[in-house]
Amino acid sequence: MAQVRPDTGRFAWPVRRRTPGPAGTAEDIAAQDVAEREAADRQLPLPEPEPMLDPPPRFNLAAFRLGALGLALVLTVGITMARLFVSGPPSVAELRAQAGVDTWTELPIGVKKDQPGTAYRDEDGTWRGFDIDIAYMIAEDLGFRRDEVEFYAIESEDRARMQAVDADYKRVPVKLVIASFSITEERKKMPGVRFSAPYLYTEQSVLTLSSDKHRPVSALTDLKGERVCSISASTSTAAPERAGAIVLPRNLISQCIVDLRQHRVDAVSTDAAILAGYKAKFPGEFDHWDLGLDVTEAWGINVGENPALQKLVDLTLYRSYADPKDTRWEEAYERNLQSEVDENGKTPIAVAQQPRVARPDVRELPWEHVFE
Amino acid sequence: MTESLYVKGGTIPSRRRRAQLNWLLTVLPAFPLVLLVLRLWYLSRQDLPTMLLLVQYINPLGMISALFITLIWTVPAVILVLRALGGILLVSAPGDAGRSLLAVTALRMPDWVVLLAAMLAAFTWQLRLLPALGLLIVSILGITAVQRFRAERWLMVWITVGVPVLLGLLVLVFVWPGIVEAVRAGEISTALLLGVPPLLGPLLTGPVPAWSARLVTHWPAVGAALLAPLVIGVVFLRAPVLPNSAVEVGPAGGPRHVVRGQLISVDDTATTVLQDGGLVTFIPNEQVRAKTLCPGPVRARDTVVAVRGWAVDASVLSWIAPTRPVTEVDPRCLGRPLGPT
Repeated sequence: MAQVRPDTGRFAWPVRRRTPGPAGTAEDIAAQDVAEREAADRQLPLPEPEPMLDPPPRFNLAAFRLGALGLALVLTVGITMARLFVSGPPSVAELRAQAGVDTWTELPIGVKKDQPGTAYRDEDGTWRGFDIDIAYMIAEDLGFRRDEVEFYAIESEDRARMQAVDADYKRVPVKLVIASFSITEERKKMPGVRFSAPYLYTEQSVLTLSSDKHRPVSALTDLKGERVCSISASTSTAAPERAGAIVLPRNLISQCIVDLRQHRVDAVSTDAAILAGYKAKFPGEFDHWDLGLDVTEAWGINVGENPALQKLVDLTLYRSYADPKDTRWEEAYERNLQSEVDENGKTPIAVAQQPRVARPDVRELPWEHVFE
Repeated sequence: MTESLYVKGGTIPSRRRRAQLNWLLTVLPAFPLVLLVLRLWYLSRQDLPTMLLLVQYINPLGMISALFITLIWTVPAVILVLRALGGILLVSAPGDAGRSLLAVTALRMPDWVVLLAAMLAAFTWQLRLLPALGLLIVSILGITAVQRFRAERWLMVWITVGVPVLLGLLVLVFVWPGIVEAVRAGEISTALLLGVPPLLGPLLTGPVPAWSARLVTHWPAVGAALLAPLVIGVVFLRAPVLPNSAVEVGPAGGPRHVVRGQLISVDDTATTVLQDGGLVTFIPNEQVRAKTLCPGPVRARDTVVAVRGWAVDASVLSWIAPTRPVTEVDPRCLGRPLGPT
């Protein structure tokens, strides 16, 4: 039986010598035997248990790899979330909050009320026209139903100030101005003016009375010395003046038409899309002339001092432009402007294609379809 | 009788267990086959001649596709749950774990299988299950470290505590709007599915008390294994395997009517349609005026909650893959012919 020797701490087998030494007597042998037996029988105290030492942790590359895998997992999720939600452009919801859209119960929009084909209020109070359809399109994307959109008539000079009038001629601030408002550098610098992307390209043209038998107009110089009515605070007053015409500005195109009918002026000149509507409404009464000007009038939407609203409006225009399934612009053009082509003959009305819209900088999460 | 029969955990019980495992592996491939046959039986309304007709015409590849698309998400679920529960048993009661098939499977499972399963799950699981996937992943990560390595303490703490806590926090931040929405909508189960797994992560990365290990790992797994065929069967039996169609029938120029049902086959003489009640109709081909594919019956969504615009019952795969939104239903699918009646 093995025992631990307390002095050395090592295992040792008790050895029992069978043969006595060479000089040993029988007595010696007996005494030795007894001593050995006693030594063997002696109960050795149990050794102190050795403390179970934790072996020191070993360097293990696989463990580091596993830790790195965990780190990669955390970093991937964390960085993805940071990229999606922290940095980057604002989301549609954030833009709506910034623009204040969510707090509006209705959407007041300033439009012209006397331009058949672009924006016209019937006797029964119904609004029709290309601008009206564009307004409905934007209102729809902003989350307003049709009966929550309020149209107010606006005059040209008030378009930058965004002050329209209601039926009782009370002044009403509007959130959007969609009133054949051409985008120009001077207007962009005016306070309170912030244009969306253009939604229609048109050009300047001239309207005369058929009964006047006015000689054919093919350039503004043909109107030299004549009285030409145009809308005040519009882009169309400058060119006739340069050509030597006497420009009589009016606040509304309908006043120009009245002047023309009463022979107080010889011609009316402004954007072709506006005049084409009058020509289409009264085909026998007016002649509509192309001026051959290469200046493109790009109509834009004034959002006032609301950059977030500008992005939201641009987003709607971009969707309509880029998404082939979104045909709202095309339908509006077809219904309001293309239908005037027969009456206007060869005189161009507007570009029959939506102006290109740059993709607005709006956050699109991978599972969202913001731009469709 | 020899003494060895009574030896606990000796050679003979182990061999017996292996024999049982062999039987299990034999039966396992038969399960999908049973499912497919059961599906046909179900489709034929327990009518043997109809079922034989279906067997004659139905393309097995089509049925396997339906099986695959419907049940793909269960594969990673089985693998990951097995690995996590078996791993907990392995680290909690290492001496006792050999008795459990669960622990043995977990021990022998290759790491790449777990990795592939996690990736497959990330793509195919609905959003409401993704927090649970996160829990399973951090749990497997921590248990693997505890089971295999004796590394420096900081490294072990990082793997078993740091990763689960951080990942849980990130997941919670992401799903928080969804939890609020679910509570507002009264969908407590959705809220719990989203919110609870991230909190449990740090608790499931190490051993449980040895006496309870078998109770909380082996037996739940056994219960799930018994329940899984039932759940899988029910899920699959509801999946369509034949296209829903509407066939306009009538003499040329004459009045028409619509036969709705599932199109089984078209041969040179007749078009075979399985109608809703399990009735098989053979329509002579000269009577067929038009056919249209009908949208599958839209099952009402059981949840309205979305997390940051991501519906909780949509998977990553579903927003990557293009969809065709069904906007209008063909009137023929409602039983009204387009032609003269």
